Amino acid sequence: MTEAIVEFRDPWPPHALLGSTKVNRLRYGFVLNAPGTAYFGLSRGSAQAEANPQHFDVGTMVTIVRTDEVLPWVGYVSEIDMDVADPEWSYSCEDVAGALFDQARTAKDWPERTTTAGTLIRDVFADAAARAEPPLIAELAQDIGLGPRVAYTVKAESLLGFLQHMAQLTNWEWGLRNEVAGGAVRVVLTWAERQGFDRRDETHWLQNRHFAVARLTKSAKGYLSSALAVGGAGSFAARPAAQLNATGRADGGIDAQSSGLGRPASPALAGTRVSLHQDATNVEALFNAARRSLDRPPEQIAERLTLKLAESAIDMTKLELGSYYTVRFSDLNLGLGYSRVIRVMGIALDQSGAVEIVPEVQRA
Amino acid sequence: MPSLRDPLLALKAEGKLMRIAVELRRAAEKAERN
Repeated sequence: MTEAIVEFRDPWPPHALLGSTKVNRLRYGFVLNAPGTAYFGLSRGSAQAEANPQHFDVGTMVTIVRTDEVLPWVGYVSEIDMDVADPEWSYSCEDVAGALFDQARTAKDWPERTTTAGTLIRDVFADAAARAEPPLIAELAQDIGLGPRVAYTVKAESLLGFLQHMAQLTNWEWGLRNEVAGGAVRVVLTWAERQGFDRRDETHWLQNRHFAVARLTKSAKGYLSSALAVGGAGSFAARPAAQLNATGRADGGIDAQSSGLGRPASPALAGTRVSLHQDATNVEALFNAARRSLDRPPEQIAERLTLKLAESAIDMTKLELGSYYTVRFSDLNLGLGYSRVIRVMGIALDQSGAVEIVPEVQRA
Repeated sequence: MPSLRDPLLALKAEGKLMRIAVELRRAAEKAERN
């Protein structure tokens, strides 16, 4: 049975080990394009915690590493809930994106820049790291300078909000690569068109063999036939706009492209989603934003599954955030047919021997 | 029983909160246009 070891570390590099103690109810996870969280209970009677309570306080770095070393988690204690009636303290932790990027801000006085999204991310992070409010700890990946071009005005937003906005305007994705090896902890910010790998052909998960618990939610609101992205500020009629629709037909003041989707099966599965992006003004970025909201409407996707996989039955080294897998159902009552290609949007690990994932079912 | 201390809560709640989010978004867009 694989165990996860929770270690408390110095919040400042080089993150020396302060203590490691047994925790209860451990549950931690990763979400694509969003911060990850971890929760656990720490016994009040723990000898280590009693000897050095400051080592287990809010703001301490926490690393969680399984004995098989897959999916290491790095973050900071963000909340401790203590109840006199409870023999356990409840800990909540956030990863580097949630704990640090969300606390930092971008520059106030930058003019609009037109460059690749990756270059903008690199410059914004260099500026925020120089101000060190807070120090960012994370390193940037070597190839961070890539991505579609955006004309963007940085305006004193949180770094996390900025990253999420970049993802929206480019249809690219950011991620954190955690490395905990020996005494060293590294967190690397990555920026790629798609996080994860394509494992559709190599990894198949079967009902009753790899998973028993599966739940499907289908939503008509997850289907759109057209998406309109409007950028810039000022007079609404004059703002740049881009639309993707079935015909590529343009309306007044709007650039249009064909969405590549045919006629919808039902009028209830059609519709236009409008998104506004004050900070961006180039049509290319607006097309990307429209493409993203068409592919994955912000509120809801067409089909969503919750899956619980048995850790012992699957190859945990091939489970990554953002990867594609094939799932086969023997029970057709789910209405899924025989198989679906899914993309892992969220992973939650605990000590029960099951790994829970929230996948996005890909368009058939 | 869903727990508030769930790392995937945001993803799971997304679907359930969809209607509220759609309404809020439309109201916000309308306000921003005006």
